[in-house]
Amino acid sequence: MASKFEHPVLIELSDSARAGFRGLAAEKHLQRLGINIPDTPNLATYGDELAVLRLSPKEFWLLQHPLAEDSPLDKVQDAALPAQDVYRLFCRDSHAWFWLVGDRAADVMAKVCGVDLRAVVFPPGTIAQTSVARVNAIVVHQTLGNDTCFNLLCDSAAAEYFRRCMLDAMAEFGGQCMEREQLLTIVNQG
Amino acid sequence: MKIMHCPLNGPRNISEFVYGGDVRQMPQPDECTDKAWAEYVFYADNRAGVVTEWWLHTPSGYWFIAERHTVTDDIVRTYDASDMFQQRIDFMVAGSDKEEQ
Repeated sequence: MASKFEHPVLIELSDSARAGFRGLAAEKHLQRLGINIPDTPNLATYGDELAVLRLSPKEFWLLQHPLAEDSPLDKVQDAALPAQDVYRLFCRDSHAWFWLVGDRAADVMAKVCGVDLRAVVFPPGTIAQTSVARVNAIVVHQTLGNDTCFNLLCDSAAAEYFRRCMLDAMAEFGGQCMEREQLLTIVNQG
Repeated sequence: MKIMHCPLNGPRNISEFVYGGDVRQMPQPDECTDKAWAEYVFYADNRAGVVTEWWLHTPSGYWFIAERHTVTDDIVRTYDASDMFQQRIDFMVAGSDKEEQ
């Protein structure tokens, strides 16, 4: 099936819901809430509603799918934490969130990131915590239909710089920014 | 480009790492002499040869231990801190029975 994105697109999702949990009991706490946890660090599970990132043995981030109709993260956020060994990470406040979508996404990333992010060595469901355009970033590979989609999370204070760097890297491939509503329209086209 | 192997994230550019000092036995702060504490805080061996050091992978905030040769700057081995520290170290507050987490 053909790609829906002829050129790479960048969508800023910083206002989308996300949350983090850390601690020795974080894994058990999330499992108790019915969250499917990846087995090892630097792996992610994702579906139509939620992506679950395991960043270390005891640190987890949950990203609500920006196109999800419901708010599955609300249930997780509203649940009381155990008395000890779990605490919240406010990654919605600390980190900006972008999607880079399109078949050429790995080529775009090769211009700003030293880690090989081609699908053959960085398949969907894997995470790279590394430097992107000299900014510390978390790169998560997932798919959007048949297209490659990289979640990019970086320090929110560097968001504007990061966006400009990505636009510069995308220019060679005819890339552009896109609003979430435009993305929704394209994704929903048969 | 110099590459360092992070035990959590794999091989990465050395620019992603920050040096954190020698791994050393810390004297009990409430029991040791001021001289012993000052030596622990301010003095380093600066030894030529393979040393054991703390390093931080900054993008993931992950501290680990590396064995590095200070003459050749070869990184001999890197491993998770849990290989060396099996339990959390708690600090006693002087003049108090409460343990600080």
